[in-house]
This record gives sequence, structure tokens and C-alpha cells, in this order.
Amino acid sequence: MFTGAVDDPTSQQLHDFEPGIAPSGLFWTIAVSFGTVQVDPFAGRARMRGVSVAVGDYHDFFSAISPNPPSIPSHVSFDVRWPGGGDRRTIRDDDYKFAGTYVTSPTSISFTARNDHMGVVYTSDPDGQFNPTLDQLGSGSPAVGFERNGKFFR
Amino acid sequence: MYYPSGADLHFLLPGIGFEMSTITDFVGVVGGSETRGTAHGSDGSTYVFDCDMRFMQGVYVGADDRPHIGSFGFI
Repeated sequence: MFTGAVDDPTSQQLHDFEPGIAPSGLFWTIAVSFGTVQVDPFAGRARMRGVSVAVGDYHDFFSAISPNPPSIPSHVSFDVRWPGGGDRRTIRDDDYKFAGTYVTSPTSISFTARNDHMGVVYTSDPDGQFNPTLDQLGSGSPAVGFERNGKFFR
Repeated sequence: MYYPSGADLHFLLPGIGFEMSTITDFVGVVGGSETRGTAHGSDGSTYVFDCDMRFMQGVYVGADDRPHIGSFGFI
């Protein structure tokens, strides 16, 4: 959560909700049930839902990736949708050793997030959402697809 | 939470052209997205949010060096 636009240098981050870094090094990633995700990778369509998932509030990104970061127990619920229908792309990256075929798609999200110590519940607004471009210091187009890496990279 | 000392962070942007998976030695279905918008607090406050959300479903090689089937969320 930011006080202003993410790419505005005067904006401040006040909350950073994520699962943390596991002892194994697994980064902000948790095992979920198969039912959490519904996906049609050929159409680029998917939906990921979670209810009252336990995470931490690390305040901000740089705190979150620092050694032994403090965090406050928190819970998030979310519903992310990829309606699909975009361009089909085949990508192979020999530097990072991954490859895949993807279908681009815009996404939208509905979420609530609560820092258990503060009691305030934050709820996403449905209007005005967008997927930031690289020029907006974002990630570019979302996508759904098939991917392989590491020992499965050929 | 524990931060592995001396480790490098390896995760790329959740956009097309970048590796979506945050699981290494993985083959399967993935989805990634970065979404921005506004959110309101139950106290009447208004904020801007930026969510990096991903999923991975498929086969991965576990810490036991054996293949497993799993489903993961990057939240």
C-alpha cells in the first residue's frame, strides 16, 4: 500500500503483505491447494483465489528483502482474473534458462488485506485498475502459459 | 521469517518475456501479473496498491531431489 502513485518518488509505502522468504530460500511463494487455481493455458485464461491466507506485513519492499525482516501477522483474501485472449508468445531465454509458450492477458484483482495488529481492513477498488508497462516501472503484460526451467530447460 | 544469508534473490518480473515461475527445476502451467489500482481502508483512508500475483502448477524437483507435483502461489 502506497500513499501515492507507485512511480512517484514522493510516495511512501506503508504496508507490504507477502508470505516472506522460507528457510529453503523459497521467495514469497507458498504451496496452495490445486483448487486455488483454475486455468486454461491454451486460452490464457485463469483465476486464482485465496481466502484469509496468513502472510506478514513487512511495511515495504526493501524491508521485506533485508536480512531477518520484522513483520506483523496479517491475512489477505484475493481473487485474481486473467480473462485471456491476448497474443500467443514463445520465449526461450538461455541466460536465465527458462522457456515457455504464453498467452497475454490483462488482469484484475479483488482483495482484502488486514494487518492483525491494526484492525484496519483494506479493500481494493474495482475501477481504474491497470497493468503497468515497463515505461511505468511495471512488469508489462501479464500472461498465462506453459513454462519450464532448471533441470527441465532444454 | 528467515532470510538465507549470502543468498542471491532470483525472481524476475511477472510480465511477458520474463520468467514467471519462482520455483526452480519446474515444468508446468504458470500465470503472472502486476496490477495497480486504488484501495480504501475501513478507517476511511485511501491508498494505491501494486500487486505481483503468480501461480505455478506442475512438476518440480524438491529438496529431496525427487520429482513432485504441486501448486504454488506467489503473493
